Parts: sequence; C-alpha cells; structure tokens
Amino acid sequence: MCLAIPARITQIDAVGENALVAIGAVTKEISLALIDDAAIGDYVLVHVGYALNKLSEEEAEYTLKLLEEIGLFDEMQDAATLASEPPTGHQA
Amino acid sequence: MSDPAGTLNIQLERTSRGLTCRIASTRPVTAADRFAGRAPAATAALLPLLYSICAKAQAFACVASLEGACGLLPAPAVVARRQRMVSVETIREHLWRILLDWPRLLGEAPDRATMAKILSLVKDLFRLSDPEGDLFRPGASSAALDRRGAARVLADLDDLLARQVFGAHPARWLDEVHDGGGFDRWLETVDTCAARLLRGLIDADEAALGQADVTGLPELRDADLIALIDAPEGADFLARPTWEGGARETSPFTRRAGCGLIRDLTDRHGRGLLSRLAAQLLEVALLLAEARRELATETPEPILPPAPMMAAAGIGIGRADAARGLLVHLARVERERVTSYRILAPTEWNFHPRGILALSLAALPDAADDVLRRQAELLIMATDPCVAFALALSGPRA
Repeated sequence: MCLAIPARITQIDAVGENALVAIGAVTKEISLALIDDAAIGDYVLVHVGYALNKLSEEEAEYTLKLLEEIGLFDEMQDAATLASEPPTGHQA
Repeated sequence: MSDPAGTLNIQLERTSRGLTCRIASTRPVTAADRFAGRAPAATAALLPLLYSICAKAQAFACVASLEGACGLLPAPAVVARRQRMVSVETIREHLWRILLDWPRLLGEAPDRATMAKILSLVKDLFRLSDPEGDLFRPGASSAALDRRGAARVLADLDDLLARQVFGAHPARWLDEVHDGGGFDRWLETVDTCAARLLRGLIDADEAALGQADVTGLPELRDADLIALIDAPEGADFLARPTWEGGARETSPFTRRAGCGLIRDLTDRHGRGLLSRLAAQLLEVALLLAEARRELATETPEPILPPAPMMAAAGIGIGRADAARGLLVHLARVERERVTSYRILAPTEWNFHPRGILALSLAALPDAADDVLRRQAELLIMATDPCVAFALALSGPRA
C-alpha cells in the first residue's frame, strides 16, 4: 500500500540536484535527478527519496483536497507506532 | 506529525543471546476505508491517485474488487491489458532498486540517468496501452492498444537494459541464464552493476546471508480473505497479517521460486540474499518477455484472475501481483455505494514483526557496525519496502 502525498518544493540547492519539499507539515530532502525543470512551488510525487514526477497544481490540489476530505491527514496525525510485538530474534 | 505515507522503523539490537530485530510501522493501513460512501466508479478513479506509487497494481485490484462486488465480468482482453500495465509497473519498480539502490550498496553512484530514461519509456507504454485512460474503469469494454508504438518503446527498453543491466538483450539473457551454471557464466563475463553486486556477494561469502524459516503465502480462498479482513479484529490483521498462526512471505522470490534459476540458486545458496536479489532481476526479464509475446499476438491470452467472488452479493475481492508481492483489495457495495473498503498490502506480510525481514535480520552474524548496517540494508533492499525505512543499530559488540 504505497500512499503518495503530493509534495511542494520549497527550496532547491545551488546545483539543482536536491530539494526540500513540504508534505503536509513534514519537510524532507529529496533528489530531483529523475525529473526535468523542477522549480520552487512545483508539486511532485515523492518515492523513497526521489521526485518521481511532477504534478500540475490542479492535480496536486485535487489530490490534497481528496486527502483532506477523507480525513487522512487527521488519521496520520494520530498514527501510533505498532510496536507492541516483542522483538524477533534469538529469544529464550 | 510523522511522514504521512508512514515509515518502517527497524531496530537491530545486540543482546547476550544474539541479534534481535524489532519492526514498527506507522503506515496508515486502514486509510482506504475512507472511500466508503462513494460510487464504485468514483472510487476506481480516485483510489489510484492516492496510492500512486504502485498505481497500476492498486487500480487493478481496485477495479477487480468493485467489478466483483457489482457482479460485472470484464472481457478477457481488458483483463489482459490491465495485467500487462501492472507488469510494466513491476518492471519499473524492480529497476528502481537495481539502478538506484544496488549501486549505492557497492559504493557506486546511482544510475539516475538510466532510471530517468526508464521512467519516460514506462510512461510511454502506459499511454500507448491505455490511450483513453479508461482501462481501469469498472465495466470498461475497450482495450485499445497502439501495438506498433508499444513494440517500438519496448525495443528501446530492451536495448537500454541490455547495456545497463543484463549485458545482453533480455531475451538472450533469459535463454542463457536459465540455471545456476548459466548464472555463473553471466557473472564471470558481464560487468554491469547488477552483475558486480551479485558476484560480490558470492566472493564475499554473503550470498546465503539472511536465511529464515518463513514459508510463502499460499493461494488463499476469497472466503478466507473475507473472513480475516472483515473480522472485528480486521484492522489488526491488515497491520500484521498471519496465516494459520504464522507470518508468511509474498514477494518476487516466492513468485519465482519454482523457476529453474531460482531453484538452482536456492539449492546452492539457500533462501538468502543472492536468491532474493536474483529473483527481482529474473522477474524483469520474464515480464519483458511476456510483454513482447503479447505485442506479437493479435489476440492476447490473459492469465485470468479468479472469477469474481459470487459467494455473497455485494462483496468483491481483487488481487494483483504487485511489484513487492500480493496486493488484495476488498470492497463491499450496496445500492451503488461503497460501504467498506480494505487494502491488504505485501509490505505488511514481509515486514511483519515476526516476518521474513525480521527473522532474516536477526539471523545475521554479529559484525562491526558498518558491516552489519550494510548487510542489513542489503536484506531490506532484497525485501523491498515501498516506503521509507529507518534502520537503527544498538547494543555493544561482544
């Protein structure tokens, strides 16, 4: 289940290789190596540290609105770690 | 607020009894239930927008579950075209690891230039395979395909992978590397990053790392899946699924375990690192071969999924062989509205706290931090999470 949230580019480094993006309230550093002509303010889909592709503002806002509409951001804010299981390994 | 897509926090700890592994996930596994209240067609259109990393696999499982719940039977040609889109997406996801992550684990630069070309070719294939953008709509009847255009793009992809991954045309690679002997000859003669990584594992005696006793997920009946997902504790099952009391694996390795090459590698090196990474490489070549065959055939022969679930009206199960393993969607539809929607993803099986990755990591021999971290990352890559992960080592070395 690979949920992808549109991320907005907020900063690009001097050589244009890496960027800071905002995903909801989270800021992440990502690589821009796989897309062309990224600019501050563009929306991108992020996949394990890379911008996978650019989204039009319309597409991004539509998806973000959908996320908000179905309350996903609220759920994420409450997301609890599922760490109740004991660790796996050499157990007695 | 954490990363909205969720994170896998993997903690490897040295104890007096050896390594222990703890995996905690913040993935929002019940988020899809928020589609309740929408029309099936709107759900099929919207869901892949949210789950857009493996959007084709998600769209495939989604439309299959909704068609099942609505009693719609898709035409074989439509199913075949949808299935091929999922395969192309799987090729892209495996190449992501092979071109971007495998070099990093060799201390080399990721091959971003090749990956950027692959992303562009895959987008072209998607466009040519679904020119109207309606292939994954419930009840879709057309399966138009620009056969000549798709064949040209596929040929470009073959050429690129011959140079950057296989060292030969992928079809020739499949012919030559059909068993362990052919694989050895390939490792000896080819100098792509993929070959260097796999050869390096054998040379460093790391090929068998990460052996663990977790069996593959068997083919589950629709009724069993519905019972588990729909149970009162269904949300727990979606977060930490088990079958018959144990964690199971669903992955390219379990999908390809019956192939001659993987059988040979498993006999020689066990179910460890080398066999798992080789299964990803093999799957790329096999899926390319299937795509070539389909384009050469006027009437495609789909591998038909199970017939839509008819045991109870209004419930549908959709399954997709996604890049990382079996993806299952369950939809309930009443009076043309979705009333509940659940997704069971392969990452939850494979990164279960007692699953294949946890046991593989705990089976690593203790070593210096840098060695242990590199070997752990190799195993994580071989199991292939679809989200970010954080790996922490703790405890002093004995």
